[in-house]
Amino acid sequence: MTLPSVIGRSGRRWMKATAAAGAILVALHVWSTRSAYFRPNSAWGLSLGALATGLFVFEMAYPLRRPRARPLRHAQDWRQGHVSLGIVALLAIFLHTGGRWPAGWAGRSLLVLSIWTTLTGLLGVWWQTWIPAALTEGLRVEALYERIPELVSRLRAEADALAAEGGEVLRRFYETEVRDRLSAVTPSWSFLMDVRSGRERELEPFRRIALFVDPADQERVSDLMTIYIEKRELDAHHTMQGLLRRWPLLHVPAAGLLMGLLAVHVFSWFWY
Amino acid sequence: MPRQASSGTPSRSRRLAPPTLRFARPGLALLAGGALALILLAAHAAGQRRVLSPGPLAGTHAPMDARCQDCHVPRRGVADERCLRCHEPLGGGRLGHRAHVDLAKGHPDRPAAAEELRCVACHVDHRGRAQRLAVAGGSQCVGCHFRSLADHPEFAVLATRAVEEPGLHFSHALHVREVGRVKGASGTAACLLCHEARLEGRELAHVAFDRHCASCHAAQGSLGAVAPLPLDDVAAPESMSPGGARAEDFERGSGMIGKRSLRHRDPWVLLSLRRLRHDLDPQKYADAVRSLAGRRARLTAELERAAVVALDLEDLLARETQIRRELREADGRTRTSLPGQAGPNRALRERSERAAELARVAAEIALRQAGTPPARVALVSAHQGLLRQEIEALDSQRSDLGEAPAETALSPEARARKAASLEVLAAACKKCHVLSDGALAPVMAARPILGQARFSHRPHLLQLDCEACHAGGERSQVASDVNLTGIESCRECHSSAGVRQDCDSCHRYHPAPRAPGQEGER
Repeated sequence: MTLPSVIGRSGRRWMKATAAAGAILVALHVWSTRSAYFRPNSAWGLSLGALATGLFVFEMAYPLRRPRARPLRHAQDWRQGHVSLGIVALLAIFLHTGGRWPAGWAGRSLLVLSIWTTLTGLLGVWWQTWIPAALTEGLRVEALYERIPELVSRLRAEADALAAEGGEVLRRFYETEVRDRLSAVTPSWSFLMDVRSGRERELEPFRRIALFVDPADQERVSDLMTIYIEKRELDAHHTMQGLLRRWPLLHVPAAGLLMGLLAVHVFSWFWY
Repeated sequence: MPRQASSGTPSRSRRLAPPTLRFARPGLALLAGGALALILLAAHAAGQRRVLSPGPLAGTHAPMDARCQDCHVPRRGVADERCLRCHEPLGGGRLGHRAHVDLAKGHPDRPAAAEELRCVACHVDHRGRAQRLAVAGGSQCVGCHFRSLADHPEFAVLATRAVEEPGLHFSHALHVREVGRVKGASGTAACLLCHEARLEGRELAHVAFDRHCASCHAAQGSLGAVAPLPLDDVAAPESMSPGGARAEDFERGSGMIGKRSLRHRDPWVLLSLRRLRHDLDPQKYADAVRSLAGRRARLTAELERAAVVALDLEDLLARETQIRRELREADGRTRTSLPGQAGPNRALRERSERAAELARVAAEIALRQAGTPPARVALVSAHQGLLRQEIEALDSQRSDLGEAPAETALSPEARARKAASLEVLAAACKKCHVLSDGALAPVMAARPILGQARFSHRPHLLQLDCEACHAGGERSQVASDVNLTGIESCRECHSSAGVRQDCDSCHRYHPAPRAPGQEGER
């Protein structure tokens, strides 16, 4: 999966517009600071701060895209705007600080929260586009996140029944090496790298035991492998869909705190 | 039949469920942000000022870290009068932009027409304890001036050849030769015998006769003698202050007086020259008296203004009432003065001064009412002490002027006699000094000629010889020779790839504070 395919055609238009807006902002910054010492509370510095504040307020209005997306045309446009203008807002923040690491805890917190919120937002865009495609292309199984534990327990029951019908060798193999792996969902970070991560290595025991079981149990070994593969794919689903569900925890609370600190920052500028 | 993996969950949906975590809802997040903001604002209102601080203050301002009102005016930002309260408690405008523009000594209207720059335009605090506030950075200078040393014009003293008259007959060539012969020194070592390094080489001391010249020019402690003069033309030795003249140095007889032994800056010679000058030109005497009186009045007014920051609140309120009354009177004078009279301009100037003082008093009252204590008495009294020294020096100069010359005009014979006496009196001085209009010209030789720059000789002497920058000194025959190679020699080292070339490495933005006895720069 390539970046252009992840972003899509309309997304590419938005990215170009974002890049153009960023280039204009940087050019204005260079021109404004060519003959004057830059300070965050200079006229240009305040303009950048006001721009970033306005953009962050727009960002927080993202939930308003439903049920009506006005003034933007579609909820999709709102989403693209949310992503693109968030990047522009972060750039405006960097320029507003003048490239300096803030000296006070409030300024540092604002900068860190701005960076964190923007980066987690971009991470969310990436995941929301890449994860469903990776799951669809890489796995045969589809499953609802909330039902995955139930499905795993069904698979285990099916495997228990299959092993009970088999010979001594098969039953011993199942009891010692397979049953525990089917007992619960096993999420893993390795699925982020490859949704089929570790599968070939974990199927080796099945291929090995097939050499030792009776010919009547060969088909049962093959069925156990299928059950195990299905279980691994459910693990991958659980991991990846879990990331999509938990990602907002990284992004939204930080955005809320950012808005609170921003309000305090604006007040202190007005007051002092 | 082999088992096939199921492709979907029973009763499955083909869509992935959207996020449903309650605690990631935007409303709750905004609520948390709002709560954080309220907590911080409440802490600030309760007196915890640091919660809103954009950063620690510089080390020199650290005691004010929790007293925002010492610098900040609510809804107005950092007011300049808050800075000047400590940095220029006597007022005077030295730290303003107009004083900087005035440094160039260009057209007199330029300073008044220049926009004022706020202190915080260059000196930005809240960047941590290690920050050096006094260093503003040269990037602010390019708004009016050039960008780098490559664009720096030639030094004005070389470009215009307008050097202040040195007031001395002096040949560098002769002295370099003689010092080399007598002291056995050459090159930089010879230069440093007269141009002594001080403050670890950062400065070169002014050449002083007693220290650097007397060993050759007053070997027996005397510079010569004064031929007999009419007693009426000169100051009586008895009229001088104790120690000013020793009776045994004088020869008298037949209404004439002479002096056997002269020392440098001989007080009797100087006083007598001054008296003769005033007798020959009474207008100059009147001008000198008026100039001294004017300077004294300005210093006295400045002394009174200085006390404002140290007054307590009651006295400040009383002072404010008084100034308002004076302003009303000044307004009345402005309205009643007729065009063409000298009144309107002076009235306007007085009104402007009163208004400026009212602003300072009002700012001080606001600070006190906000809880800021008065400025440290030691800060104010140090500056007041300098002012009092200046006033004393002026009073001493006034008493040296002596009594006014006689109002009746001199006869041509008396005038000619006095003029001749003046020449005789100054004969020994004229070997080195320049006599102009009956006065010895001020000696400006060996003074810094790059008046708008601060130059440290030390790092240069450690790496170069004097001739690298002062070529031609060994051939110079007159004191008015500048003996400086120019800006090009600076660019050999100071460049974008070499030694630092930022503006504040050589220049200061604010005029230097004046020293006692010196007319301050404005």
